[in-house]
Amino acid sequence: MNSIPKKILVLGMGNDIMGDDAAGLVAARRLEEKLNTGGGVDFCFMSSAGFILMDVMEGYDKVLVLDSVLSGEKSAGDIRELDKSELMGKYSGSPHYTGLPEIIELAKRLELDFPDELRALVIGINEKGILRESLSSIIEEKIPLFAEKAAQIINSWQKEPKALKAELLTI
Amino acid sequence: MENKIKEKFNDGMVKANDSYMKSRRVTIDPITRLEGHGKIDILLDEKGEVEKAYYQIPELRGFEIFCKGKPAEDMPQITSRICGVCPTAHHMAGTKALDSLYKIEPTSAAKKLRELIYSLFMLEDHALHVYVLGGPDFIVGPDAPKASRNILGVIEKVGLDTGKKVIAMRKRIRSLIAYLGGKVIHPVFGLPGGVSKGIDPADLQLFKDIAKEALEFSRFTLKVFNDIVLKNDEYLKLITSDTYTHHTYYMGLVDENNKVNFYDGKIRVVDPNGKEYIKFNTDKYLDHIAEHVEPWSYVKFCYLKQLGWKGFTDDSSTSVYAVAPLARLNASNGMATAEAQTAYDDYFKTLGGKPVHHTLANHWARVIEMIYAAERLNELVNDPEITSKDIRTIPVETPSVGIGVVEAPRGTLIHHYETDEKGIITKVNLIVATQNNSARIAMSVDKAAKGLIHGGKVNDGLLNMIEMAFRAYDPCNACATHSLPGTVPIEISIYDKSRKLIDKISR
Repeated sequence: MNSIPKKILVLGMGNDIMGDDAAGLVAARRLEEKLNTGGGVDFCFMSSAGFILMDVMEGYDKVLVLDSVLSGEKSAGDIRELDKSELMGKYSGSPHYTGLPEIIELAKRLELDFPDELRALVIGINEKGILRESLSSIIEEKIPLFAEKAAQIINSWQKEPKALKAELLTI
Repeated sequence: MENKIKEKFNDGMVKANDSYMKSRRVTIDPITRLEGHGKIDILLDEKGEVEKAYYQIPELRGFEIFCKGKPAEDMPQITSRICGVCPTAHHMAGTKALDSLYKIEPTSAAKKLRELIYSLFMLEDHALHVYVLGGPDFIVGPDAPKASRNILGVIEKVGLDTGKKVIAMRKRIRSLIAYLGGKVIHPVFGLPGGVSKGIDPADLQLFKDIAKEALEFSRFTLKVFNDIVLKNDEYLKLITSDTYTHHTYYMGLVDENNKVNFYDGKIRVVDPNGKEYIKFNTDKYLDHIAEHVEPWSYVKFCYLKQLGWKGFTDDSSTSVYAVAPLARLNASNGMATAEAQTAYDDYFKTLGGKPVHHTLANHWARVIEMIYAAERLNELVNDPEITSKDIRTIPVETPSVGIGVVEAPRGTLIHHYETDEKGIITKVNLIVATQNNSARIAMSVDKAAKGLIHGGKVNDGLLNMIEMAFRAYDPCNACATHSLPGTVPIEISIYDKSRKLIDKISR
């Protein structure tokens, strides 16, 4: 059993026509290019949340989400990991939306094959409603660091028992 | 270009905000809107009765400018990024606009494949609303505790097995969309004159199996709705109550027999008495639809152009119309498939004949449309032409103007592109379903607030019942497509007679 690798997913999120909102997508793409995983890590690029995330995450042991969050000018470019309370948040109560917290809880109740570990790295952005197919220079220059931090998490997962070891190239 | 967008945006914000401040003395934070918030401002009079309730919905601004200079062929992909909830609708409207732009007729097999993927999408999206988004209002209950008014509460009520069935069905449907479109969220399927991929005969059985399951699932959903909602007298009373009723016009696409069609046809409008007011080709939409601007909202309110703007009126003098499932059923003479027709007949018989003016009846109409989508899906997968390899006609004409219209889950969706002779976009106009519905949604929120809030008493249950008034339309608030960790808040602010904020609730 020890030879069975953990199934790991990197989920890059964002909208690639909305400026810095695409930061999570761009970081995930960079990570995919630079990380030699020996096939142990899958990548998915998403522009939507809601129920689709359940389909995407099902079957994986570990999922790393890369995304952007509106943070204001001072924290633009700051990279941090969401803590458990932020990740679980509150149920959205939205008329048009199902958020991550509901999805995690629902998967648990329905006894789906859902990740036993879900982590989210986010980068702060200060743009709202900007339509542009590129990142601002402030965010662009943080992408290597964003991808590097993501690679560290992936590597730590792969060093755990039953994991394949990934070879991290220079990012 | 970015600076131009910013300047235009800021200029609009300043003007609109000034105007609003002068007339209403209530501040709307314009930034809030662009983050995807829904916003309701409730203004009370000196007796604590509702003087007026305003519903604000966000609008993605500058999109038309963003599209200028891009190749028209990119539009189905670009527009599908407007919304992470119903990208297939934008993709299909964009694809049809390209057919029109290049004056090209898709092959017969291509049209069937498009309708097939679109039926899958409508079914899946409607199911999501029934069980997850709008369903909790009835399945869990309109006055149930806030904590249980969500999918988890629905699962509690209908049982784990049903929950598993819903999730599994969605996944199966999405697997077929992915087969044809490559990506479920942003499909790459439609091309001018056809589609990019057909069905391999070796895979057809899978389509047939899932189509069969989808019909069973839709029948099951109708039964769930029947058992939980229609057999509950209190719920029926709520659905037909005056608080949730408006007498307006109704709009929807119909086929040559005036039956509901999601993918193609003419736009038919019936008046508040259910009589046909007008039926027109989709490329004539500008002759019949106009937009009204109010100082308190950035959203444009659509109305029937030839009648002129008559205000937010709720009687035979109105020029306001509705789209979405209730409107589609009202605007048609029936459904094109047998079981959906039976359900359609039951619907109007139970609710007092055509047209039905009860906003909450949208939920039932949505389930009937699921039956239609599933039946149509079965027809299509059993059509001998569905595995044809003749899936595209290559465009040869010089492009100029293209208009594409489909019925999105939440109503009529219009894409209009103009290009230079090389197919480069010079003008874009989109009228999305929620925009078509915006006047009636505003009326619904106002009427529900007036009907439910008295003596200044406001609580969570009442506010949820006000939200139900717009939730029934399944309005699309989240143009920015995602928000980690997953909240798209709605803020409800209540102001006293001196316009002092007395309560604010965020959801």
